[in-house]
Amino acid sequence: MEKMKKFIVSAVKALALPVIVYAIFKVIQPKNFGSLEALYIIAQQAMMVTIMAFGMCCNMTIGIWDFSPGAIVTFVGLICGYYCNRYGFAAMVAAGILSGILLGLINAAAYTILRVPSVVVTVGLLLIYESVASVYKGGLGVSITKENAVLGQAPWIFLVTLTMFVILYVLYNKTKLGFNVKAVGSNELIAKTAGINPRKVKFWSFFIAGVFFGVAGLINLSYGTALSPAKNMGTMSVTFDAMMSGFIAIYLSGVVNRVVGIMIGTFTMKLIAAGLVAIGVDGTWQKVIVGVFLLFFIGFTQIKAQFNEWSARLKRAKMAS
Amino acid sequence: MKQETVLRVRGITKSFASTRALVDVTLDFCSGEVRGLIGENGSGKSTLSNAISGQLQPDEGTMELHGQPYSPVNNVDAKNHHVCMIVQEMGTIEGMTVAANIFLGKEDLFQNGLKILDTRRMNQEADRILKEIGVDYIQPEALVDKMAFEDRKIVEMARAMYMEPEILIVDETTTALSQRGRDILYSIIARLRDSGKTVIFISHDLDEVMDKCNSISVMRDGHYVDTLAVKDCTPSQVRQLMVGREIGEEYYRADYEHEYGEEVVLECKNIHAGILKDISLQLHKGEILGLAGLTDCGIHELGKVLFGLIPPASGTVSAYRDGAEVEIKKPITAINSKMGYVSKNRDQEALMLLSSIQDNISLPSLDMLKKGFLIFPSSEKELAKRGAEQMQIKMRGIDQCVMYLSGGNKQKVVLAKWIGNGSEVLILDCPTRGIDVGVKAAIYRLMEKLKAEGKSILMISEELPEVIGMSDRILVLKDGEIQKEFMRSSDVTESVIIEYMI
Repeated sequence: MEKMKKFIVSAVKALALPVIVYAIFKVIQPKNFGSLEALYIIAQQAMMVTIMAFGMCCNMTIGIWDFSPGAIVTFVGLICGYYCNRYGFAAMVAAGILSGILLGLINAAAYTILRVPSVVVTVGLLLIYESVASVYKGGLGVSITKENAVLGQAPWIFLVTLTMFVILYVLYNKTKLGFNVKAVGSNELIAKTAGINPRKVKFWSFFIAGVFFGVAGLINLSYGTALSPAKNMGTMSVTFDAMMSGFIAIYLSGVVNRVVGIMIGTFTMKLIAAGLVAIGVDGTWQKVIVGVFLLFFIGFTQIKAQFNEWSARLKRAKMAS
Repeated sequence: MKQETVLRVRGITKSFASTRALVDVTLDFCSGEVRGLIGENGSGKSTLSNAISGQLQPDEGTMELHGQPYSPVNNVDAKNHHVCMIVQEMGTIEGMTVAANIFLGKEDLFQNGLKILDTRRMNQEADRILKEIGVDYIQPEALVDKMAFEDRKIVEMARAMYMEPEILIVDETTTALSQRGRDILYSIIARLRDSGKTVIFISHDLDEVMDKCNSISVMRDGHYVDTLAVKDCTPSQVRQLMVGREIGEEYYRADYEHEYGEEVVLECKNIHAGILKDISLQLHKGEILGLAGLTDCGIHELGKVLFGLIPPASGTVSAYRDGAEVEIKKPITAINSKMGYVSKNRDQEALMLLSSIQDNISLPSLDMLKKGFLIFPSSEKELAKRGAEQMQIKMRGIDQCVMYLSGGNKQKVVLAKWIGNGSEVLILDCPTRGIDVGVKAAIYRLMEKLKAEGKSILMISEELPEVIGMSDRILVLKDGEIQKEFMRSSDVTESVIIEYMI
């Protein structure tokens, strides 16, 4: 009974965020926003970003900034398209996962060998991946037929995401690696003294990220059926979308498991995007609002820590006087 | 129970830069005993326990565990030999459950065939261990984040117990614990002792050591002094062994006068901050005021509070210049009131290691040097050069990077920067820490010179001979409170002060 109550309380708390966002837009724009069909489409749109954000989960817990996911997803998508048109559906799936693993390995190796801050490594790799993708097979972009794009449509898109959810949930909450990721992220020194090798943990974290980005690349192409290469850090915006979901998950941690939080996060972000379109905010201002949202969630933990310290000091002062 | 020698330590020596932390230490530890390890700050007891627990490797000497050569490369290696340590600082990881913290690094034990962890079994096992050490109020599935420091320490104890230690080192843990936490720790110690294991118990609290240990080993200045059976000795005997070092007299001030001006230059009233409780003190013109106490008694925090680096929870700090009172709330106000602060952590808090000697010396004087909004390189250079020459810094030139200087020369740079901007009040936190004898003497001469010029110095130090040797007045702190004030006199000795410290 106690457990049931606890579960309901945390479920209500966790779902409050998307529900409030929904309610706000619904009030402002009752006709053009939030029909059941629209929500269904938003959910489908959210799936690719969700898988990307799943991939970034371990790295974010460790405190690694990775800016390359968008570039990897695009590159993988182009490779998938090429193999699909040449060798068919099965080849596309295999190519997606394998190229994701390969790029994940490159990321992991570059980070562990170079020993430079992750921001530098991944921005460097982002530029390389974008550029290589833009000349890959002539750089014309790819498109695939509707039959081959089945993974990007319901119900398959949901089933794939669900599978990835289960994989990450188990990995993050029920394996040694997941435990070590949390330990290294929270306090590397203590983790080290307990016999954990932080470099090894970081390597695997990058590797796992690569696998998820591979699947995300596959879904990205299948959902849109066509894809062209991006340049000049154009892949950053989708990376930020995924990162945002991660931050919302951090915000919700303590209420709900990180992996579940990511799903709520992506859905909320897509809801906001759709809502802004519905009330007629133009593209530039949408970015401003998303930026404010981003700063809020990144700043949140910091502000919270400062607030706690401040209130503790106030309490001490009261006690002393 | 028949006692056997479990651990033999033979001729262990360890140096850090110019400091000899351990010199040819040889002693044995037996089964079924609780051995107190006691000594002043810097006596080498922590270095010794770190060598035994694999945190650091000695330069010379050997160890034997159960008759086998024992030289742990790190603390994981030591743990695999069932040598565990509970440390002073926080050792639990936030964002993880109690059970995950207990089995940190040992998750393999709960893996099934598919490499998936059985968290339910992990929680059960954690619960069992906690109950075994007499704790029933900590839930294994709770996150450690919201737990009190004490309960987190208990989680660490459970972690150490799970390793089934042959030797358990308890390093200054009890100071942070309440009676309940202490009782749990004591019962763990008693249980290990009764089952023929060895406990090495490090504490500043002599009464506690006398109460809980079978025997006490005394360390002094990196040397092993003696081991006494508790039933045959008195606290004052142990204290005598802890002190009694040779003091090079010519080092310190030759006079025994406590002479200083009437005028108060720095004052704090009823300071509460962290461990500090209701601290009030006054520093006078031309006075060297010594603050003595153990590392964690609050002396270092007090120095930071006085310089505006730590905002106190309550109470005020005031500087007086030309009759005007200025409340110190931030370091910049302190600097503008002609105060300087030399941190104990030289490399982290006092120097910009990657910058030149010139940049370091001129940093607090930039406001003084600027003409309009420009700072001319020539005036900056002149200031730095003068400071470096005055302090006789051994260097290739003032553009040399500070990182490559010796400890003593680094400290001279730190002092040069505060003297260069004409500071009238200096807060020196362990000014001679890790510095060789020659530079030490130079710093003492400088302090005398500054005093003669009418400048005021607050010297925070863990080394009693230097506090006694240099101060006009000494305040002794214990657990964040001022215990006693001594005026300079030939009657003030280390053993007199130590009574109030421990």
